[in-house]
Amino acid sequence: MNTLHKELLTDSLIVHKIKNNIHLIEEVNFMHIPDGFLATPVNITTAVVSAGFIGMALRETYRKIEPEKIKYIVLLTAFIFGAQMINFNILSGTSGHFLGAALAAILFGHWVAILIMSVVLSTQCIFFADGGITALGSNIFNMAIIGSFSAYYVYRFLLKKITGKVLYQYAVYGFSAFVSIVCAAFLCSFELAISGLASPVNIFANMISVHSLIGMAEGIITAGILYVITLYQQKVISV
Amino acid sequence: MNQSLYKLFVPLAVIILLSAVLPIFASSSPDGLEWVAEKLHFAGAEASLNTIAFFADYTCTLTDINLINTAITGISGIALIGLFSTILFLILASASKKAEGQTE
Repeated sequence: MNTLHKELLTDSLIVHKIKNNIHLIEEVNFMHIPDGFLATPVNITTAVVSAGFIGMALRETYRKIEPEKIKYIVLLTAFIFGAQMINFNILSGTSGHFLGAALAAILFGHWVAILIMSVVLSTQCIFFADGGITALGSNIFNMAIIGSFSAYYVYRFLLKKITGKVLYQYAVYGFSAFVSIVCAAFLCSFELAISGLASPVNIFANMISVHSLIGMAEGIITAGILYVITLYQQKVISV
Repeated sequence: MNQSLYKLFVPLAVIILLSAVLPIFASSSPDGLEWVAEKLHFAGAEASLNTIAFFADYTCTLTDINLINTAITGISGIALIGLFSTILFLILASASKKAEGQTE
């Protein structure tokens, strides 16, 4: 009886572990470009270009950094990492997640945003196998560099044009975040297309359509977070 | 509580909640790129070259309980990110301060 009980217990433990593993396998998805997707020349080119931009970002940040802001930059970097862990459904069978490049660019400028996003993407790649090691240059180029630059310049350009209502300001934040996602998806599509993975038309059409929806969510989340930060600044930080 | 610590406490609590608890409720549907890759039949080209990732795919097998594994992964992630970004920006600030001192 005792042996039977032990066997049953072992069996139930095995079943539990298998169920756990199935759950883990179901959750595996690649949020960023994995290894094997892009052609080697694309990986090398984007890695070199990204390294150049990171060098420029380091130089610009070194020139202008305000030490008292470091704690907020670190908090934002951790926040972006945490927020990227949460995938939300956008269509039946498809999901997306917050990127954060626009949020970082609006709060601290595009050069700091590049560094913030590069830290997040490199850590995800090395420790979490999210995004391929060979595709790290592409992921940094698309999401950190293009994502930050596009959001920052759209935000700066539009903010000069609007006057008056605070609501318009938040609309600009949201639209900048939307643009950052679409631009990053456009560059990603270009890299996938020149790597010969599928017909360029199909790649662009599908990537831009699905990422436009993700971009809308990014816009709403970014504007929402900036609103909360503004309230927090007014009610807590300024106290 | 110290005022400056209090200012950081709320954002930090939000980040911990976001990283350690909320991923449990994350959608397991394929994300945008994966969805396109499956639709256009190139998802099979994926090859994982990273064999050192301790928290591969945002999970770990330290315990038999998924909730705890997710929390460990999230908290480890924000600790790593916090460490790397602090080192990077402190080095930049310190170098900037030194350069300012030399020019004065």
